[in-house]
Amino acid sequence: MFDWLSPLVFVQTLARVAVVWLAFYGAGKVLRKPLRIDAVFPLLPSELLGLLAFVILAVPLSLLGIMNRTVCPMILVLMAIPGTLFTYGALRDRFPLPKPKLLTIVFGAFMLFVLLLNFTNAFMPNLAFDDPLVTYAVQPDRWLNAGRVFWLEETTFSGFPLLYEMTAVWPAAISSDRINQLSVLQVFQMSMLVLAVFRGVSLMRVGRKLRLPAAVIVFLTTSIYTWCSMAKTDTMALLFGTMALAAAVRQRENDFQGSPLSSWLFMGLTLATKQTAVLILAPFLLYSWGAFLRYSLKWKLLALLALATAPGAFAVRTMLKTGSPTYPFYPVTSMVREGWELNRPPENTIVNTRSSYLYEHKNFPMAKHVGIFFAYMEGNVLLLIAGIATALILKRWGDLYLVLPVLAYSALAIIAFWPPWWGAKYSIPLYPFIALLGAKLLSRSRAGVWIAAFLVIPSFIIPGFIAVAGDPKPFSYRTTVAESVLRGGWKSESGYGMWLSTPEGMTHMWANTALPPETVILSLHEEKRYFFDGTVIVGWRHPIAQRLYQENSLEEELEILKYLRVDYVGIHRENPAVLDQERSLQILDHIGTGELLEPVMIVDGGYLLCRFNPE
Amino acid sequence: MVLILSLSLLGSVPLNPLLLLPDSVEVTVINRIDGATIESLHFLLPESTTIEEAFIDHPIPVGDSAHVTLPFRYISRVVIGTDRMGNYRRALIAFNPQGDTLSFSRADKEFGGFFDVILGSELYFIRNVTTVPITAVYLRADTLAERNILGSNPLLTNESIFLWMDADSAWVRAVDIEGNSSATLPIQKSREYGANSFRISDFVEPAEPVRAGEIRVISGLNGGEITGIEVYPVVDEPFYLNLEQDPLMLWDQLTIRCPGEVEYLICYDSMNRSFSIDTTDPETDAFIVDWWHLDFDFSFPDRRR
Repeated sequence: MFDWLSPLVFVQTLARVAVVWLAFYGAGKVLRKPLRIDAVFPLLPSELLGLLAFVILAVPLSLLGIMNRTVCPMILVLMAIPGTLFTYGALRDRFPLPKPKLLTIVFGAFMLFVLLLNFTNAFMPNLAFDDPLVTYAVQPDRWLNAGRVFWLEETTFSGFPLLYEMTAVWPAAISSDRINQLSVLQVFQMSMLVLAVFRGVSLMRVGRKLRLPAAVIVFLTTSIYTWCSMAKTDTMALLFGTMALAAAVRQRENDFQGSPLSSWLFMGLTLATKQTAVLILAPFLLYSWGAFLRYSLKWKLLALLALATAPGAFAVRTMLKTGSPTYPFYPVTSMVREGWELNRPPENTIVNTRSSYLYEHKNFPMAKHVGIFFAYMEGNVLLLIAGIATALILKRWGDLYLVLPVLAYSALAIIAFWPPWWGAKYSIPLYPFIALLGAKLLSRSRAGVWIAAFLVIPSFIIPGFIAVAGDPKPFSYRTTVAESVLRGGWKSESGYGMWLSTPEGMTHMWANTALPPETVILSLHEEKRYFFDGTVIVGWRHPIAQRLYQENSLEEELEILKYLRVDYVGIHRENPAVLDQERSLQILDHIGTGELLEPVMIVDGGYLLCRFNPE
Repeated sequence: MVLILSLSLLGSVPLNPLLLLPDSVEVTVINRIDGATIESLHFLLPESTTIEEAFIDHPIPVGDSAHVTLPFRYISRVVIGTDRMGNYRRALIAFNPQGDTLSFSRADKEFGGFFDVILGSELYFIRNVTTVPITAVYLRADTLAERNILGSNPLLTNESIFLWMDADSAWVRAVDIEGNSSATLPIQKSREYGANSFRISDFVEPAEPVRAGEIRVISGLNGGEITGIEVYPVVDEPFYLNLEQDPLMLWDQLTIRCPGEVEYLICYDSMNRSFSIDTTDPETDAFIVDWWHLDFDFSFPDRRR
C-alpha cells in the first residue's frame, strides 16, 4: 500500500485541480466586465482569462517574496468561492437539459470511462521521464520554495518561455509534497486537454451530435494519453494552440462579429508556452492572413501586439540575462553574452540527434516516415480523412481550404522534427484541432454523426488491442492503471510495471535526505534535478561546465569544478559518460578512496555519487 | 555476381569457404591512454573460465601501436594492462577476418562494476555483498605473498573482482572504508556470483544466535552512528531505545529484548535521519541499518521536520 496511491488521494488530487480551475473561472468572471474583455477578446473564455490573471498576479507576489505555499493556496481558495457560485449559476441556467438521445447517453458514458482511464494515468506520478524532472516541474517547485520567480542558474532551460511554469505555480502550491505535486501537475495537464476539446468544439461550432464522438476519439489517442499525463508544457501548448486555430477558423466565418484579437492572443500564448509550438504559426497565419490584410492599421497593430506581448516578455527576460532572446535553443550567437556561450559536446549532439549514425537502424523509407507521422494521430486523422471525403462528396471547396493549413503544418513538422519516429510527438498540440476540424467538416453531412460514431471503433480497437505507431499503451495497461489507483495498490499480477524512479532519480532522493541542502552536484550525463533541493548542474548542458568536455589539463578541469562550487559528481559507475566522452575527462582517472572523486553512494542500476575532494 | 567472381580471381575476395574463416587474425592495438604504457593484453573466449594472454612484442607507449595475433572468433573480453593502476577492457568483439584495429583510451577504463585482476589464468570470482565500500582486498595464495589486489577505486556493494590466477588454494581478506578488517575467506575457483563473497557476517564479531523474544540490530552504516532505535512490535506498543550515550558504530550489534513479533524498526542517526527496516538479513537474522534504508523525505523544505 502506498500512501500516495489510493482512491482517496486520487479524488483529493482531482478536487485540488478543480479548485484551481474554479479560482481561474471565478477570477475571469469577476474581471470580464471591468476589463471589457467581451469587446477586446470576445472568444477568450473566463477560465483562461482567470488563468492569465493568476499568471500576472504571480509577478507582484514574487516581487513581495510571498509567492509561496501559504499565500498562493489562500488566494486560490478565496477565488474558488466566486468561481463555485458562478459555475452553479451557469449550470442552473442550462437546466432543464433536453432529454438526451440514446447515442448521447452511450457516448457520454463511454467518454466518462475513457476520462477515468486518462485521469488515473495522469494521477500516477511519473518518476522516470526526464523533462518535468529536469525543468518543467522544477521551476514552479523552486520558485514556491523561494517565494519568488527567479532565474534558476543551474539550468539553461530557464531561458525558455515560461508561461506554463508560471501557471503551474498555482496547482503546485496546493499539493502536499513533492510526489503529490507531480500528481497534481499531471492531472492539471489532463484537465487542460479536456478544456481544449470542449472549448474547441464550441468555438469551431462542431455539430452538437458529433462533439462527444470527436472528444472520445481525441481522449483515446495513445500519444495524448501518454504526453498529456506529464507535468510538461505540451498540454498547455495544445490548449492554446487548439484555441488559436479554432478561434482563427471561427473568425473566418462570415457571421463573426467583433474584435478579431482573440486568436492572435491565443497564438501568442502558445508561443509563450513552448518553443517548438512556433510551427503552429504556419497554419495559424494561413487561416488568419486573408482577414489580417483587411484589418485597419489599428487592428493590425493590436493583433501583432496580442501575438507578441506574452512571448516577447519572456524573450526580453532571456535577452537581459543571456544576451539572446532565443537562448538556449537556436540562440543568436553574436548576441550571446560572455559566459553564456554554448558549446555542447559533440558526443551529446550525436546521441540527441535522431538522424545521426547511432539511429541508422531506423532509417526508414520516406513513405514509412510519413506513415509513422500520420499513424501517430490515430483516430484524429481518421476523422480528418472522413471530413475531407465529406467535403469532396458535397463539393464544398471552401471546406477543403480549411484542411490545407493542416497539411502545410504536417509537411513542416515532418521536416523540422525529423525523423518522425522521434519527432511526431511534437505535433501533439495539433491533434485535437485536427479531430475537431474533421468533425466540423463531417457535420455538414447528415450521415456525419454515424461516420464519427463508427470511427470511434477503430480508434479504440486498433491502439487498444492491436498496434500503435509509437509507445503502446494498450487497453489492458490503461485498465491496470485505473484499477491500481482505485484499489490503492499496483496490480502487479497484470504483468505491467509501475513507474519507478531511475537510478539518478533515486540518488537525488537519497542525497536530498543525506546531504546538506546547499550541496552542489555535477552530473556528467543525467539531467534530472527535481528531487534534490540543492543544485544539480548538468555538465553537458551548462555553459561553464561544458568546458570540461573540451581538451583541458586536469588542473583546468579542477578549476572549472571549483568555480562551479561542486561538492559531488554523479556518474554511471561502469560507463560515466556517453560514447567515448571519457577520453576528454581527465578527472575520471582519479576515482577512488582519497582521490579527487571519492565514491560515496551507489544505487541499484549503478549510478554513483562521488565526493569531490579538490585538495 | 560477375564483379565478385572477377574480384575473386584477382584475389581480392577469398571465395574458398575454407579461407573464409581463418584461425587467427592480426589486430593492431593502438594506445590512446594518456600517460600510460600498455604492457599486456589478455582475452577471454565465450563460455571459457580461462583467460589467455596475447603476445605483445614490446610495451606500447601513448600514441604508438603494436600488432597482436588473436584467434579469429567472437571474443568476450579483451583486457589491457598498463604500467599504471587499473585495467582497460573491451567486451563483445567480432574482428574483421582481414585484420582489425583495437584502440584503447580512457573510455575503456574499468571504472567499476567489476574489476579484472590478472595474476594467472583461472577465474576466482569475488563479490562484495556487504553494505559498505571495500577499499582493500588482501590475497594470499600458495605461491603468492599477501598483497592488496585492489587499486584505490573501491569495491562497492554488489561489485565484483574477476581474479585470474593459478593456485590450488588461496585466501582473501577485505578492509572496509572505515578500516575494519574482515575474517579471512578461503576462496575456490568459480564463476558463480555468490560463491566467494564478502558478507556482513565476515565483519561482525561472532554472536549467539538470535533467540525467541529478541531481535538483533547491526549497523551497516559507514560514516554515521545510530543514536536511537524505535521498535514497532506487531501487537504491543512501540518503544524507543536511546543510544546517544553509546551509539552503534559500523558493524556494532545490539540485541534487544522484545517479546512477540516485530513489524519494523526505525533507527535514527546523530543527524536525525531515519532508517526504516522491515526485514531481517537471512544470514545473521539481524535488522541491518544501511544507507539503502534511509527514509526519503519528499516534503517541501519549509515543512521539513
